[in-house]
Amino acid sequence: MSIYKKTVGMLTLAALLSGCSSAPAVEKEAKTPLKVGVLAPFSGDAASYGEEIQIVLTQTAAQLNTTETQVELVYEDSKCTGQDAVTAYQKLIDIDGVDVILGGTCSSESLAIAPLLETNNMVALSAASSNPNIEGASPNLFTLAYNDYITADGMTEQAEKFTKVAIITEQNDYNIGIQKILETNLGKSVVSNEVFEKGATDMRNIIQKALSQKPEALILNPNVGTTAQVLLRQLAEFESELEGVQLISQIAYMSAEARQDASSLSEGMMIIDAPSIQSEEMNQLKKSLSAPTNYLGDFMTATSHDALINLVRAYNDSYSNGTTLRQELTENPLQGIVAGGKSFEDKNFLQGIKTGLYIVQEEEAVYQD
Amino acid sequence: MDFFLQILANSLVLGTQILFLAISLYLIKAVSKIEHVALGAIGTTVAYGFYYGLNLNQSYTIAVIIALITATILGLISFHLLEKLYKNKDILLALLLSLAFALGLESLVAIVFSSQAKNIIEGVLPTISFGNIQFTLPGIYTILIGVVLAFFTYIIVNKTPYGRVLRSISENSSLVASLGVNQVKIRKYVYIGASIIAGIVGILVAMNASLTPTLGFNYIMIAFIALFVGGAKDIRGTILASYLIILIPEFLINYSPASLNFTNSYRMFFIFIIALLILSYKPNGIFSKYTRNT
Repeated sequence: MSIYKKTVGMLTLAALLSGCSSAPAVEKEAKTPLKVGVLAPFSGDAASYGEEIQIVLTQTAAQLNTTETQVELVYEDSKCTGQDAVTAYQKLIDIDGVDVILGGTCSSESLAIAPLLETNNMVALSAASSNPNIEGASPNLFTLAYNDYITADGMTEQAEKFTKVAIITEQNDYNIGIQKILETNLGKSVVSNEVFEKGATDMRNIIQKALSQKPEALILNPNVGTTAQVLLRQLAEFESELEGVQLISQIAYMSAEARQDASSLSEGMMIIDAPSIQSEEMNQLKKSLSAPTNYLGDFMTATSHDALINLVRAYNDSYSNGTTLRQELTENPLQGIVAGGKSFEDKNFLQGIKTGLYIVQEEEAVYQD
Repeated sequence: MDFFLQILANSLVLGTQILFLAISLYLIKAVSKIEHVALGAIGTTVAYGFYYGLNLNQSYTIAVIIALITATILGLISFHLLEKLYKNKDILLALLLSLAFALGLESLVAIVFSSQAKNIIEGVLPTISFGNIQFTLPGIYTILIGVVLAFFTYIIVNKTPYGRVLRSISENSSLVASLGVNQVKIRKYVYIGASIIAGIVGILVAMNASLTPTLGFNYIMIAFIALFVGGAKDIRGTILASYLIILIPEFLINYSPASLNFTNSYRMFFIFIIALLILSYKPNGIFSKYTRNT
């Protein structure tokens, strides 16, 4: 009797315990939507970034929701500044209770939240932050963008063909990062090195100062968005002085909108950006979006998509494998259009990304193989 | 030499833009002792009204009418917001309310029109050259209108009975009231007039550069400093200070040795240093005179 009772009791207890231990995991996967906090600028000069990232993520989440898991996106405006990014991050953690962070978008945002991530045991994956200081900033911060060193090296490769180079830079972490590398790489061939403050609307004096040094090449180094447009538009007022001057730039001028006010001046402009993405998956993603993502360009459209699918994949796998989300992100090859098959290799930057050269011809940025 | 003259030309345009706002601030300060810093945001909002009107049917007439209506409404709102505080002598509270009004207006504009820059004139701006010196067409308009505005403001304030009334309201309002002058009505008109002037500069700045919701903030801060450096009681000082605090930093930035690495980001720093230096020698403004206390 006692043995029978004990056996039944043990079996019942075992059944109950096994039921108790497996139930929450099943419930968590099946019922709880994965809350992804998105840090992106939705106001200010770089608002175009945030608006287009939202278009990509909404579509990607819709795809994921029909197949794998429930994803809820919680957006916060980080305004492309460190201070606002910290406030937005804290709201996502304390008020919204998000599980992971997709962002920051601008480098200043990612660098500002980096010290907070470990304390909150939170992982952040950025689709766009590229400042070299992100390397080593936090073991919980990762980015799918290519390091600014790579962009700056690509720009150097073109600029070093000229003996007199002028640089015009917007003051923010991303652009100053590139400017410092260009300064070091190009050395004495830099005859003018001008910086204008974020949000400036009148750059005529610094344009005049740069042109007064009669440069052979002019490197335009603004951030994506409004200021890039304004800078080029005001530069076009000096078009006669720019005859024979080679314009070199980066992603800020990849979109036709950024060049539309000065299309004649833009002809022949060299743009260093990620290589063109030619894949069926990319074409399908672009077609499925509710609006074109001209400011983001193909690369960041793809990395925004990849960031979300990898966060979701890593989160789900961490549950099924009993590992941490960080381990899942760093110890396995990633998925996606750009990140597919690549990995972080114990770094904060995705490894194996290179830049490409584009030249503006008949108002189109044409990729040079 | 060409470089010097071009920097001078560009800075004259910027200085005149500051002058417009400084004159608006001066007028309101003259009749109510209040620093109405929302004038920057008011100017921006009026410029958005102009932009909206222009896009409605490509007619400058419609755009000007909408801009005028916007300026008048915002002038009246400003008056009603601040009048009670003026009467209670809560000048500091009025400054804070004006700042809050500015932030509210900026947010409203950003919600309605988005934060993306807008261009009133599409494409590359038309330019006019004088020898090797180049001005944009809106830049020329700015200087011309600015000179006319400064001249007439000076004449009206200093040489006409209206000007005497304006100045006396701030100096001895009880005496003015005893003479039967309707101060409330005058203040209301001054608020509307200042909003229109701020609107004109908003439109001119937007034409010369581009239009963003926060455009007015930097400008009003510099105009605010110009008002104090010039002396809030003397329009001549305000006019001179508007140009000085723009021209000196521009030349320091552009003519300093490269090793000092003075970039455009130093501009506000230099403006504060200049203001500090002038105010330490002339605490009541550039043209202030020593007056014995009674």
